Amino acid sequence: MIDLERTLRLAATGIDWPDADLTGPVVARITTAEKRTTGSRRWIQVALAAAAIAIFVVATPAGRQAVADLLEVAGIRVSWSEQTVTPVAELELGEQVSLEEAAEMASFPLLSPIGAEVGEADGVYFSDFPPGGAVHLVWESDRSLPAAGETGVGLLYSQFKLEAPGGFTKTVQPGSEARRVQVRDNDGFWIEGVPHIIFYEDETGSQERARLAANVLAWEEGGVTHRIETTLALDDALRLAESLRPIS
Amino acid sequence: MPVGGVHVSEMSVEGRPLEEKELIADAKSGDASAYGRLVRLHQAVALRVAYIVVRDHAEAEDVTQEALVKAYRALGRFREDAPFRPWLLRIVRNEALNRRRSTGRRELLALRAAADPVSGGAAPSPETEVMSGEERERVLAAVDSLPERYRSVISARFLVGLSEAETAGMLGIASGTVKSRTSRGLTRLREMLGDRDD
Repeated sequence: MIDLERTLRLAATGIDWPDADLTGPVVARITTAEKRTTGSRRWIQVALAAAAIAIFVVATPAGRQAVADLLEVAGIRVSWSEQTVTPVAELELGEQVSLEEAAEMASFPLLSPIGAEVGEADGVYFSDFPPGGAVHLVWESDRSLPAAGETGVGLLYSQFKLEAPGGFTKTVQPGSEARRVQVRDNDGFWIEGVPHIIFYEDETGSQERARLAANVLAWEEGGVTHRIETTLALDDALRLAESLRPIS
Repeated sequence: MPVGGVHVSEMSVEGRPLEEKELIADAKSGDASAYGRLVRLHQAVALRVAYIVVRDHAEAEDVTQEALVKAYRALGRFREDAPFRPWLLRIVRNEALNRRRSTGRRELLALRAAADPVSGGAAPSPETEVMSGEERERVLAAVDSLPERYRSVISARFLVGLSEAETAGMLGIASGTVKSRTSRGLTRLREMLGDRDD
């Protein structure tokens, strides 16, 4: 194969690409939609699945204020919602790789726990979602690390750096406690109690991959968002965070 | 209504930035026909991006139409100093990925080969002459067997025909990452394709 790039381009010329003129239908749709002028934004665009659980979140004014005061950690916003949110997505971690491969693929320096009580991760995954890529370290559940019903795993530690507009929103409800914490000398937050909903909102405002989440410790460090999701208590999660070291 | 005559050469035009900027500004202020012109400029490449993901013509058209409508509604969020096409294509790709996920399809269907690459009475291009259908299938199958991180970059660069910067913008990764994944993806492809008999 003398010139692989050229070969690929040649192969592309033989693909039966779709070739439709969408101008008419698109213009017709946006024109019709404008005439309707509903004004209200369609809040939930996540497809309804048969097994979906609908959760009504009604915040008290006091609670809403408390959460409104919460900080925003890079790429994660915490909010109350009075909307119906339908979590449908399952945990999607991407492809399984070695820790070394993940370090090579990530666009940011990766951290991994050293000498932590939980030991080494059972699996390392790299995902192109969210945009910019994410690395997930997964610990299976065992006696000291009960499985979170929301993820089915004992512990999930995710690192990502958003490289496109968009971000995650966590929707908490009464019965949840959400508060500021310092993690490794960085601002962060801790949410525990009633499982909350996390979804990703892209730059079009589309919300996707809404799923239920267990207790979460999240913080920003060097422009990278770190997130530990577990049934562990705050102290244990903080200890784990303190054990994180750069992968050399 | 399908029309012919959309060629790669037209898609690889980076756009007439000034005119495109005006069209975007007009579309933002509610001019649907200006948006229609933007659609005409970018739909061929958008359809390719969707097809690479969903592997079905009707679905690719549906996904692209959906994404183009969404993009129109999201124009208010578009930063005018940013390049438009990667922004648009990112929306198309996301829509296509969501569609593929919602259908629960994990396996990639093979990319359809054109029945007759020299339709329309045009002279056969030298390029189509030198690659047999069998060879083309082998090359495309090799691309499909790459891990997703390489496949997405290789497909965008060489099958869809995007530049490095456009690929980075569409995939939401850094240009340097596109460069390194392209290089590693090509190396893997060479290993896969290198064992042929000629």
